[in-house]
Amino acid sequence: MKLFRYSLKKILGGLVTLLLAATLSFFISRLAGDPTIQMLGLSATPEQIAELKAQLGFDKPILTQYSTFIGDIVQFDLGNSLYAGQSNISLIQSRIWASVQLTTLAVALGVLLGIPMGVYAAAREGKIVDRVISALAIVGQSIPVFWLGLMLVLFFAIKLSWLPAGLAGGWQNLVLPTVTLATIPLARVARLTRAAMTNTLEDQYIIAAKARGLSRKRVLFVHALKNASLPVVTLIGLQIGTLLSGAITVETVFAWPGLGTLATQAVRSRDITLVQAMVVFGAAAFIVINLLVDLLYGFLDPRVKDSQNK
Amino acid sequence: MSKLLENDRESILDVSDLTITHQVRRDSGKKTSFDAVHNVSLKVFPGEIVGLVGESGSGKTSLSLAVCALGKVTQGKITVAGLDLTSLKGRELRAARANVQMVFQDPHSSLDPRQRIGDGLRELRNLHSERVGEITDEELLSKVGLNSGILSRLPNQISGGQAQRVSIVRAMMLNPSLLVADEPTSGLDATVQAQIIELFRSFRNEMGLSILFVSHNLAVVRELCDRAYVMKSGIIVEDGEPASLFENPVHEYTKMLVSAVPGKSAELAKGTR
Repeated sequence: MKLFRYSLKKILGGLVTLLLAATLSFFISRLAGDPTIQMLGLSATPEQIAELKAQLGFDKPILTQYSTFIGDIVQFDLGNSLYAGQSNISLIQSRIWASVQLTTLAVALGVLLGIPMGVYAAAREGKIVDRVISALAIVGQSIPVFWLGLMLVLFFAIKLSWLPAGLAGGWQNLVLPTVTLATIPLARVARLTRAAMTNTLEDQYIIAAKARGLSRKRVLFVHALKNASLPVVTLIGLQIGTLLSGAITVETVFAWPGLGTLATQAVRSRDITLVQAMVVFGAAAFIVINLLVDLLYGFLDPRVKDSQNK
Repeated sequence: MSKLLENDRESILDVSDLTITHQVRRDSGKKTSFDAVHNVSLKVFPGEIVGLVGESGSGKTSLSLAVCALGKVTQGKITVAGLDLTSLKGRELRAARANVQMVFQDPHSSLDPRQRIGDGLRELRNLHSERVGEITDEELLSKVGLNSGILSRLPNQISGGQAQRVSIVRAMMLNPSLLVADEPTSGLDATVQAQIIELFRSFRNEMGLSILFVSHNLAVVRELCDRAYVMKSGIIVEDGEPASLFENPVHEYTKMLVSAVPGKSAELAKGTR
């Protein structure tokens, strides 16, 4: 019962956040100026502008436009693109698979390498291995992804001709953008895992586990990592949300047909309805992932599960 | 115990000329080292409860951890049941650790906060099946006055006294040759303290268990221990039977420890209870 109430509370909180994100995106995009002038050009007559405004509903009072916008969202309608001549949802749908592929692979690579690196560094705190891993993580976090992407393209695509430089296609096309994008979650996950594990390894139950003759691997991965995992899981959730709603730089460098390039195109062409749709979609993705992370806490920490079930 | 008797018996724990040096980094960033334990020798014989007393920072915990093969030894030898712990590594070291079990000061923090009590017992049963034998969880728990209802609980769902009993069960189920109890009663109320002390006494009397009982509570040491060592700044300054040690202390530090015991505890230390 408590789990139901807890989930309901989280869902309602998420809906309020979504409403705020939609409201902000609506009013901020209106502050950017009149999109109809942008669409028709400076030579357009006032009559042409008025006609287009009426066609798009921009002639109505702002609060009416806002209530229509929110009402459409409630009915899962994110409006039509001003330029593409199709619904924003269908535009997002056409790009989402490419973004999901790239995000999933990049986050998986980051997690699969980042967690063991963080654990290994913490287990050898202060030793040379720890210093090397910590330095690599800082480099990974500081290096601009557009530069890394370009370097990888220059070396592996142009010089060695091993892999394609960009665009979607087979698995080969995924390698360079995935590796480039993975540096962000990899570095962050490795650093946070190391920090959380360093604290946990000083806890007395870890000394007690060693005293009972448990293997080093079991102490590290079963007892310490499980207890250090909550902040890491939270970070992974945030990384998925961020990358899914648009890994703009990496997608642009590799001409990857995902949501990031769609967002860039929308901003460049001042397609405000598409920009609003992408903001709402991004916020919704974040909220859903955070909700899943919250529910995952219950499985990772039986204390949370017990308190939810009471 | 006379020197003659000591020489005749085989000790369970034999610490000889043990030095443990810790390195610390000063505010200036420079590393400096100090001896937490310096040239210490002590013995625990089968079925004996030996006290180790001293104020905070005297090196008791460093020594206890080293005896459990958990700390780095700079110099010297620690032999448990004839096995030199300082010469072991890897799998052998882990197997030897199971033979010396430790009960910690803070029972809650010595239990994995996300592991149910029953899962903790199962983990040990799976890892050390030969040591644990056929005894059931219920039988183990009943030895310390707990019932099986506690098996599904998490450490934060049980009291301090219950947590310490669980720690004792986890230590005892491995049938160790030696139990190191590091201030096992200091966080507990007086009634629970007395029950825990009684448990240690019964383990010694019924199972012949040897215990190194680390404490700063002279009253408890006097009541429970057969012999005691007094430790100051990493050195053993005095040892003997608790009654004579606390009634007629020779070393200035022991005198100071005895005189520092307040009120009723002082009477206990002087054997008036």
